[in-house]
Amino acid sequence: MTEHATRLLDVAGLTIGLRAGGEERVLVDGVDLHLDLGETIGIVGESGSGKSLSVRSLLQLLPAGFTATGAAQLSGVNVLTASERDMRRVRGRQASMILQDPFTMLNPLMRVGRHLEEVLREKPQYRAMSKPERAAEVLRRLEEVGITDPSVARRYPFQLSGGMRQRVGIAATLATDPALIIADEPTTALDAVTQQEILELLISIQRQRHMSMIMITHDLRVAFAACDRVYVMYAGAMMEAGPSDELSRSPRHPYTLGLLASEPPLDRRLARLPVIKGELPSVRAREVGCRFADRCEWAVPACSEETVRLAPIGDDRASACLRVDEIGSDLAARFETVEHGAEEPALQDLSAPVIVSLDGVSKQYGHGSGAVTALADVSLTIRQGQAVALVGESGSGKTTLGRCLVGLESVTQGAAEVFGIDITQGSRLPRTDVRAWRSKVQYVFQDPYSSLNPRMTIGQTLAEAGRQAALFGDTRVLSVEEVLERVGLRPQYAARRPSALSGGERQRVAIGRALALNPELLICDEPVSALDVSVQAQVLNLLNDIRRETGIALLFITHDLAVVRQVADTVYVLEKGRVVETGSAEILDSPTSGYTKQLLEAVPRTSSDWLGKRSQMGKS
Amino acid sequence: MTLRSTLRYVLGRLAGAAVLLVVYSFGIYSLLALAPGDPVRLLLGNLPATPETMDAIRARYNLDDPFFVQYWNWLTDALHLDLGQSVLTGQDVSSAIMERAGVTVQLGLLTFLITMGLGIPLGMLAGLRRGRFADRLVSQLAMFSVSAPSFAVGILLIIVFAGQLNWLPSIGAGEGGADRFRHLVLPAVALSTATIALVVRYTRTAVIEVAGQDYIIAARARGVKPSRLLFNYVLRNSLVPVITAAGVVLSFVMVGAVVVEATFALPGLGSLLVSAVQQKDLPIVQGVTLVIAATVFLINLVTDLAYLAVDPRIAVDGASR
Repeated sequence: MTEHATRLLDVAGLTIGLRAGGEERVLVDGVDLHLDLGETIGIVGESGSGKSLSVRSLLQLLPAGFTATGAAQLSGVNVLTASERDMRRVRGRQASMILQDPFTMLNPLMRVGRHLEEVLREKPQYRAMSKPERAAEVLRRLEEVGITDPSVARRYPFQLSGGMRQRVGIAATLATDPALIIADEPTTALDAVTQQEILELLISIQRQRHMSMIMITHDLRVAFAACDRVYVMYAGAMMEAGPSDELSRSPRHPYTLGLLASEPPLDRRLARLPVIKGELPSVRAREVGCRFADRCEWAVPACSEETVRLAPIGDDRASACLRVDEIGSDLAARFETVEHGAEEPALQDLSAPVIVSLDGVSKQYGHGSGAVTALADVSLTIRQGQAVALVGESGSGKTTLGRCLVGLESVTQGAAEVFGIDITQGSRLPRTDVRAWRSKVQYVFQDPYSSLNPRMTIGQTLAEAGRQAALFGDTRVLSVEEVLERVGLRPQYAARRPSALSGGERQRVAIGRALALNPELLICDEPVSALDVSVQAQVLNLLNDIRRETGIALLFITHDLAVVRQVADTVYVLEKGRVVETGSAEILDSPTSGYTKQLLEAVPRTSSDWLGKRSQMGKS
Repeated sequence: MTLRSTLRYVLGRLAGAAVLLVVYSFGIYSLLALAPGDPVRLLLGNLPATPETMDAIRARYNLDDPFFVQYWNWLTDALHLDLGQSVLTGQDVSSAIMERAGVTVQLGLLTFLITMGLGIPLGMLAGLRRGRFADRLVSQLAMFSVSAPSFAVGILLIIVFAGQLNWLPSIGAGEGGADRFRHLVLPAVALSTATIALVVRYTRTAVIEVAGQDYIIAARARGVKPSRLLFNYVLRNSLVPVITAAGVVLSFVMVGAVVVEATFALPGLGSLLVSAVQQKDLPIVQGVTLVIAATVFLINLVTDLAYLAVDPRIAVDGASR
């Protein structure tokens, strides 16, 4: 019972429903969790798992139409049923929240300092202060989050970088000195290096202030590195819970195992990434039985008939798997094979003809003193059938380069040939050259939600691409069914519209639309970064299969080095528009450029020393 | 965004507006020249149509000059602020405009105040109570008022408040001061019915958009006071579209005044224009339309400057392009 003296939050049977069109949909179903003072827990799940809704309900910040039932005691207050008046005492003082996107989390019309000042004033000791005293307090609080430049307080959010904004967001959230801080995907929108810095900052502040923290993330590695205990959610239900180091070493639920396995490894190239079959269920799925049963290899009929809530399995661990006792050794054995999966060396034929050749290419936006350099003196070669990765953080120029290769942007300087066509000519090219160029190079965009025309069925979209191929003089135009088969979708999908498809399915269609033109080079711009981990592995496998079958060349634009390892033969690392390192995929094992080392260091790792080292360095 | 760059921006915009006004005046001049009816007969008025008087008219108004020369003459006079004389009364067009402009400006300002003063709070109420009773009520009323033509509303107001209740006068502009205000209330209310609906719609949409933003949720989560949330977060961030609506309202008032001034027999620019069109008093028509156009240009400029003041993200360079 002594344990309960330090209990800060106790949630039991949290259920969140949405009434829409006369029917009640259950988005979160019977979630139990608890949190002690000074403890950090992670809630991990893919999109639709209900992790964000669950924590927002704790502050009564659910969007209109959502209702939360169950019990949630936060410092003795049932925060699900408390009045708005009582909640005003909870929000900020008891618990406060950091949101995912630093670009939208701050009031765009208010200076940085005001964000802190307005909440400081809520506390009597600061309200009593004089204005200059309070201004000094604001600066002190900005210093706590690593902002030492006092002029930042007078700036507007739009004048700051993403990482700086997130620091300001954290400072504003901490201004009321809450006992609990909820961080909802606090680093998802940030570059890897910045993500590491922000996580280290959060953890060091949490330790110094002895606060409790709930971190919501889709990235198991981040949760394991940052949290004492981790909860895994799937489709609105809790699947498994346990201490980070144990959960990461021996998952006791098939879904946790699947999530761990789908994460592409950074240190080796797998012949095939393990996948969880199927897709995330739609919200309306049945409420009886295990929600993961449809995708589970170990499911038996009983799994669909009996609802199992999170149940203790000893050592502070809990699992919601009906067969947890029977399949324990199976899971352990499978985990072992995943950890030591079959490797495959990068394959490439360096005698194959060159299809893309860039020499000293530069790209500038604007003129004169206001000009921005997106690419500077970039040289790059792609050979037939080769898979090349362009790696860099946001603003490195990697997307600009890809867009130049399909003619969406023009090159300002240098020599650039694509299939022997001089693309620096741009609009002066003869029409036959333009056609050849367009038919041989195709593009897959990052966001499958905006790259498909929502008014057209999948069949219409693919048929249109086929007609385009015919127009380009292609004699072996693929039928809609053939394209769908090639990207692993059933023929019935032809009649559907994008809105009826999941993110992974949409990206398959987008890939299919590009393949319908029989290109020889496919440019993929962050094709999996908008997708959930379990779906990401499926799409990466698909791209590797297509390459093996058709001998197509790939230019893979990404920020994710683990993804690079799985698809690329040759790697180009871009920093601020310049190539800082190039070579075969093995350069990830022994990088020479400091920037590449920095990127590698920033890739999340399960062990807690990923975040530990730096924050200790920061203290000294 | 310094004072200097803002000043340069304003001067650039004014120069652009001047060029546009010349183009615009040429358009009006051409249209009036193309209108049916012999200008000589119009200019004769009550004089007998003898060849001598007609020649005299032609000579006096240079009607035998080629079209472009006539326009050129008008333009150079206009640049010296001489817009010609009324054909019917012989009064200077510019002094006729000055005489009438006061009533129209006052009517416009009052309409604007009523529109914004009611439209923004109602729009915010509807946006914050989206889908609930208050929203449905406000939205229905807005729909109703936008479909009601202002002259019809004007007549209704006259019947009820001037006729039945005898609270307010229905005709004329009054004697200045409080009396002028009393005379302008009904016309301003009539003119506001349509514009309020516009402001309600813009405000409601903007508030709904802003209320769903992350920074509102984050601010609530860290315990920002509801009153600050309403004014410093929701209202301020909704202002840009509301300013757009305000610009449209002001421009609309200039046009709407034509009808409403006729309904309430107000001696403003609108009624001046209407009677000038009816009597084919071309110099007056030309002059008044030019003033209205210049005012609309000015309103647009002020609107864009208001954006700059409200939103620090909108830089002068971006706005001037």
